[in-house]
Amino acid sequence: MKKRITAMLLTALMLTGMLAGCGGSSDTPANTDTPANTSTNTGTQQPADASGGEIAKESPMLADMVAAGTLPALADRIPTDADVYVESAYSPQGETPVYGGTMRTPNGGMWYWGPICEEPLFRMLDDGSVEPNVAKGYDLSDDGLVYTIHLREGMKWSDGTPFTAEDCVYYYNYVLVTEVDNATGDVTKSNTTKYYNWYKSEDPADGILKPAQVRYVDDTTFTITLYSPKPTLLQAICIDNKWMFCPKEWYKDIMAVNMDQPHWSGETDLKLIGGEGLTTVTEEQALANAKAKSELYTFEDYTKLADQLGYRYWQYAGRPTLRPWNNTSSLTEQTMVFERNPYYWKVDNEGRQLPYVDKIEIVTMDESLNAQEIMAGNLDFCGFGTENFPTYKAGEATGCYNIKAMVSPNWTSSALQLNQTYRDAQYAELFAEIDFRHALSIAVDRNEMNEILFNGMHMPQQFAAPEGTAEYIPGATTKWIDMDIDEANKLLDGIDLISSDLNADGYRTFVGGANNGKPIVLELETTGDEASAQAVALLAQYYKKIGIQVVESPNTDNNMRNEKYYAGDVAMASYEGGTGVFNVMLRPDYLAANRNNNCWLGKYGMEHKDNITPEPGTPMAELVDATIGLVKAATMDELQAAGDKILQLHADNTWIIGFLDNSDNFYAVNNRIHNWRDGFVMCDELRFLGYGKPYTWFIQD
Amino acid sequence: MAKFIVKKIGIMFLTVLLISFAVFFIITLPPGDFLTNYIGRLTAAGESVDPVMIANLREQYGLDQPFVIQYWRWITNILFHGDFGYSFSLAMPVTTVIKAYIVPTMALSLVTMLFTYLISIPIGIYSAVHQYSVGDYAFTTIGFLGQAVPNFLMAILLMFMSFKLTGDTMLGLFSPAMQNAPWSWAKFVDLCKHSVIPIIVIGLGNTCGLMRTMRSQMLDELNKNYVMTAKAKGMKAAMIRYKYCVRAAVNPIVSSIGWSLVGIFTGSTITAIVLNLPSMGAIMYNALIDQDMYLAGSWLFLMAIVTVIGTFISDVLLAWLDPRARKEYLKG
Repeated sequence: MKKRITAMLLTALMLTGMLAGCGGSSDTPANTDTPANTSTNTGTQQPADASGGEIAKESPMLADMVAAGTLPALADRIPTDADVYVESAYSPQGETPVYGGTMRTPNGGMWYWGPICEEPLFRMLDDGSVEPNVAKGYDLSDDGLVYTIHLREGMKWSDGTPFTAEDCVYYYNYVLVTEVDNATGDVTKSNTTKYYNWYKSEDPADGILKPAQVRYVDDTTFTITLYSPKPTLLQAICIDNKWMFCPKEWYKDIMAVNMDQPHWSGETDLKLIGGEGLTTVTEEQALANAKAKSELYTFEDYTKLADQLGYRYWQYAGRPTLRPWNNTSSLTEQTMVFERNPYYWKVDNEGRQLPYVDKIEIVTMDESLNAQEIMAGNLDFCGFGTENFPTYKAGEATGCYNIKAMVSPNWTSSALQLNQTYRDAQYAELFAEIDFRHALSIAVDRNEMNEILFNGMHMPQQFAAPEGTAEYIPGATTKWIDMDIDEANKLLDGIDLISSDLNADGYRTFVGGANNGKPIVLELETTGDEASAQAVALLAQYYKKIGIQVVESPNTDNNMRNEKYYAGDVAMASYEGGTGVFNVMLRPDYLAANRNNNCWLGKYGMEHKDNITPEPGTPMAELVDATIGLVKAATMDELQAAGDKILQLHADNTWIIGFLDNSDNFYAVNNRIHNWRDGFVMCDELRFLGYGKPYTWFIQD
Repeated sequence: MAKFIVKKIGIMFLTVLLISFAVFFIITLPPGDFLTNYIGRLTAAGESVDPVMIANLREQYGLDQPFVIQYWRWITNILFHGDFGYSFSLAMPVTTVIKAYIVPTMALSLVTMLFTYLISIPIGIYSAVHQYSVGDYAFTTIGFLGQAVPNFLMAILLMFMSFKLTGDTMLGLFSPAMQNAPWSWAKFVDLCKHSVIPIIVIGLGNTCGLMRTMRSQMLDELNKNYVMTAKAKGMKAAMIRYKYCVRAAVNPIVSSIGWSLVGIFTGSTITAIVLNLPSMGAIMYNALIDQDMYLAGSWLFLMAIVTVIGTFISDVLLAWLDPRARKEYLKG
């Protein structure tokens, strides 16, 4: 039903796009007399230097508050001149930015709007290096064990309270590592990835991975002390713990710390950060205290409170942050309003306080409505998939918005995975056979697949990093991509496990073992949507030619599939959409042997509850070693070596059989939004849209 | 009449309990539970999930308990503490969610209902009195079209027209600029403008049905002997129509008011999604998809209560309007 509605909407929109002009433009009658054109919806049109030749350093909205005496002067709100963050690279070039206005975007969930407003301690760049952000800088001791982090003097939380090193130390000791088991250092209550937690390093004394010590030095300095050097500590913080700070004063009566069982770092830190003033409360008190702060913080139990206010805090109005905009509404509001942080600590190269835009509205509505709303000028930016590209492209002609292309980190858009640890040992043995995977790869007509499934928008490609990326291995993307049925049949004939003759139905059978005489049937798990059904039907045709039967095992509920995997029941094989990584050294998920929900990896994933250790000497054993190597790497060279090893193992073994390359991620962006950056990689590591520094965008019609 | 009402209330209470059981049962029927969904979302966000954590959560939320125990916990909390449980997906109490959506949902639905009755009854009467006239044919055509065209399609068509004429699709109840503005005359005007499409769309489906019902009922009445008698006695035509015929003809419409009440509380789900209305329908839809069982369950439960109350009101109204119904019920 929903699909049909979406289709109708889109059809109507195609027509709309061709017939109507940009709805937001002022030449339409309704807009001349509706309140839609009031200054709350558009930029105030006041260049930042409008006030008598002198450049306005702050938004008129805040200047009014300062004039009314309800807000301190700008100089008292931002860090000292020496320490204020000056945004140069992303400042508008050749344009004079204006303050004010409201940007509207559909509600894509907290992981969509969170990163738009996010401020990490260090910020990751697209080459994999980091730059200071909330932190002003750092020093590393000669032995590589002690990082001294410097903060900005005079920096404040969005409620005006000072931001100091205490907030970082408090966060680490009382919000983060209360989840660590005191004796073993293992994470007990967290869903943080086990095998590359940023704060763990190997203790040379006993070979155990142990959490770092975080110590207060003075208000603008703290240290992180490791047991052994970790070359990508700052990158790991960027990925796993970007907000390594929280407002201690605000949290101290809602975070229950178990004082009977002091956490691993002992009581020393309590004294260092002024333990006398630090109240510890019971979980019940914490729940009551939180509720007393605001009705919005009504939680059923403490676990939920810790998860929501401790980890996913940016959803909740009233929690002080360092972000450019903060939510001011309840999560039940259809339109959530994010308002500018008056204490935001970044300025542009003219010394004007950022952000330029006053508010962001996050609108909850059905995704199928996005297209019409962006065409009507009611949305300022929204993402869309390739399947909707024709609609948006037609609408672009109305002149209301432009389509911006972002790079996807995924290596392929369509791929086949064979479970290397499938419960039927004969199948597992067959899947481990490289000639079998080779045959499956070259039996596919990738060009035809591209035409039928993707309107020819892709290119044939093996599962490997595309050319132009740092992880590109020459030849890997074109390996085994040309169709050759005869060669595929020859390869299969050479495998002893299966027959070279076909049975009455035209399929090869197992030779010997429990499955003797039974046909080879690849049960492909899919998400059950139309596109995967078509893909599986195609694969069934191709593989019929090499005597392999294919059946679809649709798992319409992707969530059910995940749960099944976590419970230890991994499918035989799966047809997947995009997979890939941004940087294997920094976050090897989907390629390394750690996760428990990858079909190809199966139980070799070290986090799998029924983890199997691969036989020594096999490529899979090498992959496990390389994964551990990544975690334990003490130098950049070791890390690079482990990362390269993982990439090379994938290139050599093709555990994931890729068919077609991946396309860009698209955004429709209203023309009134200026200074929007495109062309960067849209990925978790770079914080999605946040990488484009939305606080430097401005609105001008 | 008192005996009639007491008997009705007794049956109502029983019905509501039975419905609550059925509702809860149906919600727990699909494979998986909220956590299945939660895991899916964590995974989609790139977070790794630990099976131990899932098991703990399942225990904590009581999802590992048998269905009957879960039901008992839920219903007793509602009956004795007025606590409808907790929405897993929104991380807030169910009552908070309901409070946030009930007012706009009801306001929209009541206005729509008013629109429906104000339009359909007079037109029905007109069509019956002027049977086979041009007006009757015109209204009949519109009526059949209105019933045949699905609401959401009508919504899309009207949005398209609105976009063509005004440059705005009039989505939601307010324009972007007015959404969070304080109440003012301009905001009220904006609300009225934005209400036009939802009221027409949601109202039209019902209006057409009611129009047809009213017309045929009126025609029946107009041809009855008492009308002829009244005419013979020299009573004015208008008097006969409005005092006697309309009162009798309106019976089936009154007896369906109860069911309209449910619509008032849910809003029209699909239409609400298409028009992006802040009604309970869309929230309910997501709750069912997410298997957010307490939110979905409580909402369905409230709907059941409202339906039963609506039926009760209809029965009472009917009994009051038509002594025959009252007598028959008490006899039976």
